Amino acid sequence: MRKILFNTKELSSDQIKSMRDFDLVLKKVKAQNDYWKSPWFYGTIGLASILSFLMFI
Amino acid sequence: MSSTSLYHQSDTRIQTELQIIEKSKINPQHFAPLYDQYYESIFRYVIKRINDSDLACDITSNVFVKAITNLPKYEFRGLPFSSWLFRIAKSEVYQSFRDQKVKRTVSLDKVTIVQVFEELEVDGLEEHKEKLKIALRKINDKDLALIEMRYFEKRSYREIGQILNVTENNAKVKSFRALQKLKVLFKE
Repeated sequence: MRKILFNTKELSSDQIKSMRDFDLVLKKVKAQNDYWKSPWFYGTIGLASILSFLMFI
Repeated sequence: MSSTSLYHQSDTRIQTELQIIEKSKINPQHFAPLYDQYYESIFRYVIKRINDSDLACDITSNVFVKAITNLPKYEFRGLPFSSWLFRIAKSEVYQSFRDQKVKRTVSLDKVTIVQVFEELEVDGLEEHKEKLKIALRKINDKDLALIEMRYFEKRSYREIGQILNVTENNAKVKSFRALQKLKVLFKE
């Protein structure tokens, strides 16, 4: 069930600003890009393709 | 205009953003000014729907990760960049509900409640709060999203249309119908 809240205390702009962490965002972006380039990714995809091919024939 | 909306922008501002976007496609570090500019509005959009500041922080961070990762696919269609970010935010928030990480929350302040009661054409505050709670629990997700954006967050129909990927006129019609449904539920 949905929670309906009346008059909740909003965080101030300064509090929200203090939560910003652009370096973390860049790290996550890099980690994602590295994953696509990693041998593990292509190894898994390659293995799955070979297995599907073998099952097909 | 609501503090949550940074929608109305000059052409110069939009052009500056476009230049940042093009640079960021090559090097994500150039994205920092857009991150700083939109962090607060995206965070507020998220926290109003989940009411958990730690999770809101994570989701907001993921919105920007997705935005940067998908920048090569981004095409300028005359719309402010913020509408694209809000669309990603909407999708991330709904994903967290699907993953059952958090309960759907609807947050209203006192001014908003008064304005909603005006739209619903009812007087009084305290005696009707409970009825409004029940109606907001009953209304479907799509109508709730429209009511939140239009009547709680005071977004323009144009912005709502761009976030929901519908025309401005369609956003207007849908918002009006959603309000009518809320009225019916409120009076039940």
